[in-house]
Amino acid sequence: MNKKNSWILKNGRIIDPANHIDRTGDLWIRDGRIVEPGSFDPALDETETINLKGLVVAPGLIDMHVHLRQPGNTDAETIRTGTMAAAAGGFTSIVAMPNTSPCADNAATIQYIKEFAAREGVVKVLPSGALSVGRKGEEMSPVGSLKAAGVVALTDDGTCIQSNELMRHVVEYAGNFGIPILEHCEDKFLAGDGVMHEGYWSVLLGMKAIPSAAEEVIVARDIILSRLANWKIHIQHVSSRNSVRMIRSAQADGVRISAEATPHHIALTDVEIKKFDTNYKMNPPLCAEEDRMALIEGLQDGTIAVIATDHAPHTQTAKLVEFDHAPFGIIGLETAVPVALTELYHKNYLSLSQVISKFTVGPATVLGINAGTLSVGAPADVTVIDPDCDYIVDANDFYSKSRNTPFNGYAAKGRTMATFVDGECVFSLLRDSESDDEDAR
Amino acid sequence: MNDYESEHETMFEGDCISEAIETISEAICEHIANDPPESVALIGIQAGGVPLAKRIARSIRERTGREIEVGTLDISMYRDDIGKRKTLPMIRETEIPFDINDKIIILADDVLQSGRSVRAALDALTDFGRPGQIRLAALIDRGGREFPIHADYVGMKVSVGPEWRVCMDWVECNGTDSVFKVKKQ
Amino acid sequence: MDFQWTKKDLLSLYDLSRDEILHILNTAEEFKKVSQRNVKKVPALRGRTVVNLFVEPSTRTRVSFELAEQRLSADIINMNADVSSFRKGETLLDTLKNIQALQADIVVIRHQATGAPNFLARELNMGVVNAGDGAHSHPTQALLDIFTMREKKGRIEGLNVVIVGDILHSRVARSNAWGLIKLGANVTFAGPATLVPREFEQIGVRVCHNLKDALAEADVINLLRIQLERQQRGYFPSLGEYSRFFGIHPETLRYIKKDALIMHPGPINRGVEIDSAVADGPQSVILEQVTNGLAVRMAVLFLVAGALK
Repeated sequence: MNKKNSWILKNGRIIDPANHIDRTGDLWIRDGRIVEPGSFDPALDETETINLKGLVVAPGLIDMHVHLRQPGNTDAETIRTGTMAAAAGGFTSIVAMPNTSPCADNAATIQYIKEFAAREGVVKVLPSGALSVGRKGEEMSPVGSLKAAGVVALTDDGTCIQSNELMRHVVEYAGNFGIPILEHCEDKFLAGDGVMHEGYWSVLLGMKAIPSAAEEVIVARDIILSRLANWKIHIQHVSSRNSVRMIRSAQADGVRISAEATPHHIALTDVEIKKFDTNYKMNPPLCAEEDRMALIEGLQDGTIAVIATDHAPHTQTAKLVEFDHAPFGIIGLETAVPVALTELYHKNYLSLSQVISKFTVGPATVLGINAGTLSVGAPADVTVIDPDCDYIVDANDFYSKSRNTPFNGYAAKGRTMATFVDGECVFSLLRDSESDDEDAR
Repeated sequence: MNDYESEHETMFEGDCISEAIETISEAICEHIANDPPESVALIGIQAGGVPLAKRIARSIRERTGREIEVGTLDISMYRDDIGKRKTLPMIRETEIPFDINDKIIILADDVLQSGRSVRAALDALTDFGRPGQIRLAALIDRGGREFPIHADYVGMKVSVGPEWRVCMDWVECNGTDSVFKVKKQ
Repeated sequence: MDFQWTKKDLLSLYDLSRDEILHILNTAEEFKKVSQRNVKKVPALRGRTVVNLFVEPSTRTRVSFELAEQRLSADIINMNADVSSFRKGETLLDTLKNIQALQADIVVIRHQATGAPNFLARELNMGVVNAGDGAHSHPTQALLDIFTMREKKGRIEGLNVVIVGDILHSRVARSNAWGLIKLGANVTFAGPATLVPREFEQIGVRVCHNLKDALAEADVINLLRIQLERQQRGYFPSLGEYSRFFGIHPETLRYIKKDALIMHPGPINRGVEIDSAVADGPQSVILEQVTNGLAVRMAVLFLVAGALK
C-alpha cells in the first residue's frame, strides 16, 4: 500500500453527515489530516491527486461491534486479518469485543491488544473491556483500570449480566468513570438452548427456539437501570420489533439508551433457516419479516443510530457441523456496506447520507470518540464508496480469515472502493487510469 | 402412445402380431397336451410379457377349452444393473395367485434379447417356490444373447443390429399392437 | 410415462412432491408382498453397503431399517454413537466421510439435531436416509402411517386425520402433516395449547385444543407418545391430567366414527395417551403400521440406491 499521506481527492460527492454536508467537490488531506482545499501547494509536496467523479467520499466508517478473536482463536481471525477485512469493508475504526481468550477483563490483555494492533493492525482498533470478570456475570470487572488502559466501552457481549442487582451497580460505576456500556440483551433462561428465532419457521421446522422475549426482557431491564443510574447503555444488535418500540419510547422520555442493528438483521429473516446452513446461525437469531421492517423503521426515525456488523469469525471446522452444534455468529466487515446500500439506500428506506451517518457520526456519538467526520483538522480517515456499482459478493475474495457469511453470492449494488486511515491508503480498488486519465481532462 | 424423439421405425402391426401369438399357443398346446391343465401356468414378465401371457391363455382356451392360470412377475428387485442405469425402472405388480411348486411354468416376455431379464425372472420365480419345469415364451426373438438362454416358444425371429432397441405397444396398455425399433441414443 | 425417482436422499416429506410420495407408496406395496412370501428376501441391494448411524437411541426404527436392509440383501454396518463423541472428537461429517471412503453407499441416520441429515446430504455423495432428526422430520414414519391409512381407507384425499398429543416436539406430526396435506387430506392437530401452537394453522392444519371436537369427524386418529419430560418442564400438570383430557379411552369410542382407525407410532404408554382396550381393540392398526414400516423402508432404500450415481 501507498505510504504517502497527502492527497487531493477531486470531484467526489462529499457526504459528511456530522457537518450536514452533501456536495460535490475536492477533499484535501495533508500529513494525515483533513485541511482546507487550497491550503497548500500540491506541487511542493509529495501529493497524489485522484479523480473520484461519480464516487462518494465519506468519513472513515466505524464498526463498533467486531470480534477479532485475538488473543485466543487465531485460527478464525487475527488482529491482522480482521483489520485487513475492516479496511476492505471501508472501516477505519473498529471496536474489538472482549470475549477473547483470555478475556479482555484486565488491563494487561487490553495492553496486549493495543500493542499488537499498533504493530499489525491496518485500521484503528479500539478495545472494549468486559463488564464482569471473565464475562461470567458474577462480579464487576476492574472498570477504572480498564478505562485507564484505554477501553472505549464495556460489554459482556455474547452474554449479559443476568443479575439485575449486579447490573445496577455496574451501570452506576461505569457512569462514574464515563464509559458507555454495550449490551448483548439475552435472558439465558428464556433463550434456553434455542438455536433460532421462535416463530412460524421454528414451529414448522421443529427447531429449538429463542423467543424474542429473551431479548426484550433485558432491553426493558436496561432501560429501567439506565434511567435509575442516569447512564448510557447501548443496545447491541437489536432484533425484535418490541425492543425497537421500547427503545423509541425510552429515548422520548430522555433515557440515555441507544441502539445498533446489524446488516444481516436488516437484510434477512428466519425463513433462511430451512436451508440448515449454519452461516445463518447467529445470536440474536434472524427474526420475522415484521421485526426486520421494524428495524428499518427504527433506522429511519433515528431510534437506531448505528449499524454495526457483529463480525464473528468461525473456522469452517467449527461451522461445518450440525446446526444445533454450530457456534453462533457470522462475519460482516466486508459485506456491511454493500448490504446496507442495497437494502436501505437502493430500496429507498434511507438516503445515502443517512446510511453513512449510521456508520460514522452514529457510532462516534455513542462512543464519544473523535472520529466519523470530515471536519477540517480531523484525522484523515476517509472511505470512498461507489454507491451504484453491481457487485456479486464472493467470499473467496475476503481478507478475513473466515468464510462464515450468508451473503456469499449476494447481488449487491454498491461497495467500498478505497479506505484511508490517517491519510494513508490502506485499501483501494481504484484503477490508476481513474486518477491519471480523467484528471488530465 | 410412444413419444420417442429419436429415430423410430414400425416393424410389425396388428394381425401379424396375432399370428405370432397363435404360433406360440399352438406349440404350447402340443407340448402340454398330456399334462393336466392345473399343472401348467403362465407368468408374464412385467410389463410387456403380461399382455402376452394373457393372450396366450385366451388362445389356449379358445383352441382347447383349457383354463390356464396367469400370473405377473416384476423383476426390478432382481436386476443386476441397479445403479448402472440412468433411472430406476418402476416396480410393477407381481401377482402369482397360485402355488408354483412342481408346476410347469411358462414365462412370457415380449422381446428376448440379452437374456438378462429372463435370468432375473428365473431368480425371482425360484424365490416363490420350486417349479417342476420352467419354459420360456417370447413373442420376438431379436438375437443378441449375452446369457446362455433360449426361448422354447418363439412368435417371430428378427435380425436387428445392436444399435436398435426393439419395443412393443399392446392394445391393453397403449391402444394398439405394434412392434417397433428405436435407435439407441 | 413412467415416474422417474431421482433423489439420492430422503430427508423430509416437505421436500417431496405429491407424485414422489405416491411413487414411494406404490413401490412399497410391491415390497410388502416380499415379506409375505416364503423367501422374504430379494437381491435388489446386493453388493451395496448401508450404514445405520443412530446418534439418538432407537429400537424399533432401527430394527425396522435393519431388517429392510437385510431383506434387500444389502451389507450392513451398525454404528452407535453418542452425540458427545462428535462434540469432543471427530465431527459427524468426518466420521461419515471416512465411511464414504470405504465405499459405503447409503447412510441411515437418526440424530437429535434438527437438519443434521440435510447437512450431511449436502456434504456427502452417499445417499442419506433420515430416520428422524430432532423435532423436525421422520419421513419413513409418516410414509408408513400414510401407507396404512391408504391401505385401510382406500384413499387419502378428503380423509380427516387427527393427530393428538405433543405436536410441538413431534417430528412424526410434522412429517405426517406435510405428506397428508400434499395428498389432499384434512389434518387436525389436537392437544393442550402448550403443546399445539397455533402457527400450524398457517400451513393448513386445523388446530384444536378440545379432544371431543377434534375427533368428531375423524377417519384416522394418530396418537403420539407423551413424554414425562414434558410434564417436568411445565407443559402440562401431570400425566394423569393429560390422560383425562387428551387420552383415548373406551368411552371415547362412543363419540368417534365406528370405522375410525386408531394409530400410534409407538412405543405406547398404555394408560396415558391410550388405554389398552383401545390399543388392542378392533379399530387399532398399530401393529399393521409396524409391518408396513418394513415395506416402506425397503421401498425407500431401493429408490435411493437406484438414484445413486
